[in-house]
Amino acid sequence: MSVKESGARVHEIRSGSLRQQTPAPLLVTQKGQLPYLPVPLAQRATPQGATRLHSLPISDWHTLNSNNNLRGTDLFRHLNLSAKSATCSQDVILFLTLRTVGTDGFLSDTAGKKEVVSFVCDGSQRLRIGCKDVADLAVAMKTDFCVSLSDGMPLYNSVNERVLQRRANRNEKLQKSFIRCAQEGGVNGVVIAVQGGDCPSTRRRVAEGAARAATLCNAAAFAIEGLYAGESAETRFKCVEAVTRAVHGTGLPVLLLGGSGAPWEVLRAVAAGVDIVESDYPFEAAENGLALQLTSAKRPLAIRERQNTLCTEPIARDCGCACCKGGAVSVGYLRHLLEVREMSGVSLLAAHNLWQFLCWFHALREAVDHQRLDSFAARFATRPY
Amino acid sequence: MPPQLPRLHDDAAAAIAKEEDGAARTPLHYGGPRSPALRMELHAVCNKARAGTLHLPHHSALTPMFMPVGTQASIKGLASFQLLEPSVDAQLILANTYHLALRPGGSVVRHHGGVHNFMNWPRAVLTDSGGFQMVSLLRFSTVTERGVHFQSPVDGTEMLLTPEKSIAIQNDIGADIIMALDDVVPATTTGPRVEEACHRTLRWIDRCDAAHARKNEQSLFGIVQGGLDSRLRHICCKGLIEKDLPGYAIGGLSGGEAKELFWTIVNQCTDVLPQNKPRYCMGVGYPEDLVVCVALGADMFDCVYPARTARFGTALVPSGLLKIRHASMAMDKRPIQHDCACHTCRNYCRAYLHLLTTKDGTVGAQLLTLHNIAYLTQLMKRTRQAIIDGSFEHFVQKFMLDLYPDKKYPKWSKDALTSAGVRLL
Repeated sequence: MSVKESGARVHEIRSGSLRQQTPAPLLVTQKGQLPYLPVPLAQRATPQGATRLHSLPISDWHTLNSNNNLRGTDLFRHLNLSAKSATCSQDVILFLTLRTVGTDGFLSDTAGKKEVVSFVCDGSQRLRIGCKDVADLAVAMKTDFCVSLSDGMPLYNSVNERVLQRRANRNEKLQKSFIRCAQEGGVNGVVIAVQGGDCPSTRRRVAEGAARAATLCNAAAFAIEGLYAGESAETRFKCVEAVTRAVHGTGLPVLLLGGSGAPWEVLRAVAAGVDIVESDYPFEAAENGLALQLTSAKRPLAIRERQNTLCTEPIARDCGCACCKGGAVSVGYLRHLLEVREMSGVSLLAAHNLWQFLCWFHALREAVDHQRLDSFAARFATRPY
Repeated sequence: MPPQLPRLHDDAAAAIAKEEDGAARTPLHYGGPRSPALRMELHAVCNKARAGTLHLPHHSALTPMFMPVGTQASIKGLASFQLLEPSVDAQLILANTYHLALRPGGSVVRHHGGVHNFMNWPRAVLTDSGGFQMVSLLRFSTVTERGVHFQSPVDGTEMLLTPEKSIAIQNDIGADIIMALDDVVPATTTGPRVEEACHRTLRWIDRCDAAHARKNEQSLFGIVQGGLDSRLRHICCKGLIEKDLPGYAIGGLSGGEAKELFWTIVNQCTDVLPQNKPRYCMGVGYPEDLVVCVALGADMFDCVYPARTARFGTALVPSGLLKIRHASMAMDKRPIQHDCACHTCRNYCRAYLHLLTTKDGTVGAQLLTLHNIAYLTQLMKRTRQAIIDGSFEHFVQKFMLDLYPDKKYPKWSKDALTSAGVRLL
């Protein structure tokens, strides 16, 4: 893998007293909790000085109960609590995003109304969300950042120029509408979504429009959305580069949403100028019984393999996670927990993976800062990570 | 279908037991200052209720205590360090011999330096012998005088769990307290099978004792069987007391029997079991049962109930049960229990827990499990303090009033508490 350093940069995202240097991962949550990681474990999986960024998918919060139509907005207004207080995430920067968790992503479709996007959630439930709904939810939850509503595009539509243009126009309207709602409602940290299918030129055009809008509305960041819909990696990162080149001049951070956030993908994205990459990679790996060893640039350890039964060593002696610190949990014990399907097995592994992932990002930032991203990336180029 | 194995005639069985047991032995002396692996220190007694400290190789456990169950050497959903938090402060946890023998195997646990090292738990551990699996895995087991034939529910492989093998595995696992293999029958069983189980349990205790190879580090508890028959319970208690074991458990209860019979049997056993030895009431986990059994003189309790009920979205509270998945919780701002110091109650409201437990509730179940275990360990801690302070009766009165504000106490608990010298308001 060859990584160009041209677009990579060290940046910072901040909200109130919380700040985090980028490149950094945006960790996908389920109902406000990291998958398999209750807060006490998540805290022990975060190196000192690191601030986690959490993505709260709108689908988790928009409609809480479809039987009685209970909405997240109503709940948070009633509780008079911020999302941070309710989810015990005071030390975390929260982003309200459109990603759906546990599905293949979202399939968006026009719903006949100009300012409404509907998407399939969890394979069956179809949610219809308008710009005002998102703005209201962000205000009720008091999230730090909120990604604007936008309309993605199925891959098969990308070949048609007219369709592309029509979607781009529609997204422009959605964007204006969302900005108006956000300004009226007092939404914190508006993040402007950039769509455009898998066509780099359309992406660039849309991004240029977004950059102009950002200066007018005092936006906080840009989010590249609508990728990971079946396009090739080459096409994907051409699109990413087209966007980052168009918006870097604003000095605002750029988010890449929708991917798995695996290390090779992160390196490509960072090299293309992305600052924050949405990811559930540490948790997916844990679910599959893989222990990350990113800090030592080793391939993931398949815990379930039989030869680990008698291993009395932790996954990594130099790892500071709750699992490895002081040799607390041996690989053999982890294997046992996974074999007998104990919840705590995946939880402990997720804690380890998260620590490794956050440490790896720290090393990545240093590599970018010292302009040695190529050599850093080369360590992860020859093996699957 | 479980394997159909030939049943041994009782005389033949006795002969086998004798062969494997070796020569008749004089009773061993455990308990008190002479016991290297266990010492029971009683601090206060209130009628039959006792507060003490159970000094074990890995921890001095405060009694009465609730022991969370970690069948597979892990409390479901919790990491070991979470059980050490002051709001939980678990003294001792359970693991299961049969399940650990299946996966990963006793020798593997020994290779890891014993169960404490294996699961990174610095405090005391107790292993059940595998006898309970005769009930929980009834379809997969057949009992003979030689031992219990199990067919693994995991891969179908067969295992003959003899008293010797159970003890050998428990020696490998290395818990502070190990349990003798007993012949367990479902609590509602009646007739000759109960008598057979009672006598077989008494025969097996000798084989267990003879096989026990780590008496300086592990204490062997005998288990009183005899179903709901007070004559058999008396025989079993007497037989076990003669063995002068470090501690005694009351087994074969909490399996659906009438509560009147349950407390009567517990009461009968605690009346005759030695004062200077710990008494472990097996499978008891409902808060009301715990308090009643403490009043009747039991010291140790275990049950999967707090973790299992948490996975079904239920939280334990002083007024009974709180169904977190119920629609009424959807907008409730309050914590599960306002005076609970556990992480869950300190940080989350019921409405958010309702969200977490209604769908894909892994983290929700973990949070509720933490609360439920903390609830029971703290209940036992408060009970202990009340015994020490001499306010046990007042404590029980308040506990029961919280549970039954209308004072419609169940007859069985009223009778049990009255017999233990506690008058309800």
